[in-house]
Amino acid sequence: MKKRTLNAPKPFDYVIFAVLILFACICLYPFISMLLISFASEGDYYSSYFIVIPWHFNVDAYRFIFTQGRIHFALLESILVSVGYTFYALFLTSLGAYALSNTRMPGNRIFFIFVLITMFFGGGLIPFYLTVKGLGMIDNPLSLIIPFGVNAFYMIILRNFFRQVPKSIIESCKLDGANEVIIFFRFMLPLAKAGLITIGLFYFVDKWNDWYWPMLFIHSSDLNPLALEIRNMLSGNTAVDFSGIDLTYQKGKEAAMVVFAILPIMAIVPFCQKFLVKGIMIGSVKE
Amino acid sequence: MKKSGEKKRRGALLMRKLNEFKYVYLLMLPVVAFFLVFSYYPMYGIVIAFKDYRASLGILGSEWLDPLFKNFTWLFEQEYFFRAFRNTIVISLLKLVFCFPVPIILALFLAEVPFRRSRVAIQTVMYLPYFFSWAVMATIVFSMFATNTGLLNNIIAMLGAERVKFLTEARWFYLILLISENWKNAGWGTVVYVAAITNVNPELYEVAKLDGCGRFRMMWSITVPCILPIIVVMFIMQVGSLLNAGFDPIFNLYNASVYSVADILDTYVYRLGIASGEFERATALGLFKAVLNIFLLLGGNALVKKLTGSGIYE
Repeated sequence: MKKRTLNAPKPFDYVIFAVLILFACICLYPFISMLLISFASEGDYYSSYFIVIPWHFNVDAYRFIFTQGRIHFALLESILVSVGYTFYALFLTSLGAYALSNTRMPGNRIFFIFVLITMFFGGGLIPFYLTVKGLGMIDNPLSLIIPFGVNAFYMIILRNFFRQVPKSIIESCKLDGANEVIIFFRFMLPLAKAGLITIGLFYFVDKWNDWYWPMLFIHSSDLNPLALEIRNMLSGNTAVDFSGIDLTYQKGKEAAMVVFAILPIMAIVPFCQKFLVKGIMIGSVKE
Repeated sequence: MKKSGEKKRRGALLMRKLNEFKYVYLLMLPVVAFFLVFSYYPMYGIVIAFKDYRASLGILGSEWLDPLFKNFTWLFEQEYFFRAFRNTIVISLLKLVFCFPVPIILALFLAEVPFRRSRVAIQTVMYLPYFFSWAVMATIVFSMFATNTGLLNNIIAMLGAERVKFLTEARWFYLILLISENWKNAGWGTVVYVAAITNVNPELYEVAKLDGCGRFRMMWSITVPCILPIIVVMFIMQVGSLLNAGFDPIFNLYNASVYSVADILDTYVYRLGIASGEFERATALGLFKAVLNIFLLLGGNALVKKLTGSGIYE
């Protein structure tokens, strides 16, 4: 960023600050409001105007979530699926990215085009659905993991990370008699750690947020992950029984679920921001 | 004689290279298998658009349709198809006008913040919504625009005006969609432009300052022209995805009372294929879209290549 000597602030500065702060507040307001709603009572909710203030602070909504078996399980399933998927996808993606980064390899160009075609053209929704169905994965959480092993765009990003590993390291490994498998696992993966973290974060977030494919592939509502529960809550056909007679109110429970859905993101994104931004930048660097 | 010798030498060279990389081929095998099963096999599945698909007979065993393009002619007779096509283009164009410039403006403003700490803090907050799912975003959007308890309507009511049914009246849909779109993506969209601004030669600003340029003038006459190439590339890419008006936001924000303005090709494919189970017709529609899409994308890529010397993806 440009370095400038600081002068007294001008009207121009105030305008800029006002716009940025306003936008930042708009970005933050809804999440804070969800958090407050989840701790408030029904009376607080209906008597408030701009932002709900939890005068009657309580954790009933959260108690509900942890005693209502389904959400509990949805949360656990989301964690397992997202973490499992991240490792599976990272493994496949790094294998492909490594092959792409070996530009001297015969067939490298063909493989690149083979991958690129899938970015431009695909079978579309129904043929993909039928493929997964044909493999007998419907109603199995594995259907949320296996068919999504590689995101071609992330693979190209990771290739760019691999390319930044100095050639001399690889050459000297080869002279020492290491084969490509050893080079890949012992040198390339550790040296491209930043890239793996970046791509891993994207994969995790994508899977954590995914409600669409579960909606298609998971037919029994006992197996819905958290994101799908949120989506169902939104469209009003939730499998979670909200109607039970208890002290909490509907909005509070909804807000509590949203808080849980965004909690991991809030925990990850601000601290890994550097990685995320770097990943996108390296991904778009051209040779 | 000489020719065949050269051929032999080339062959030997290739064999030696293949041998050198044999383990890489081994490593990439699972990836190739993955793409074959989950990308290329579904491409083959497209033929059901031309078949009378019966699950029991499989894709290969199902009969070809008599007029081969029956599903397409059916499609082009549907009023809903034209509605979806028109809405897709309208929404994409609206996004081009009202969403595309926002990250550029925000990035230009961010560059003017002199304190590193406050800049990073603002950026962190701005990036957040991008990483939440549209289901979560829609929940929040609904609660903000709700008629009886929503923040916006509370303000309207306080000003003494009548509460507005933002969520069920078709004329408000685009407004809500564009606001949500910007809210979720504009912050993260700044990343590319902020990086481009960082790379602007600082000497340009020094010289301009000596010439007595004001801050706004510098922004307009130095920063903007310097990042113009990246703006053009992003713009072309955006135009290239004209037919992708965005499934997620619309699917989460729309309801039956706003279909007339909100239903796009992707949501129509979904309702046709998954909700009504018309696999062949939905596949035909998907294919129609994919073919148009590829021309747009390749056209955009070629244009970028011509302007900058290299394509988007290499």
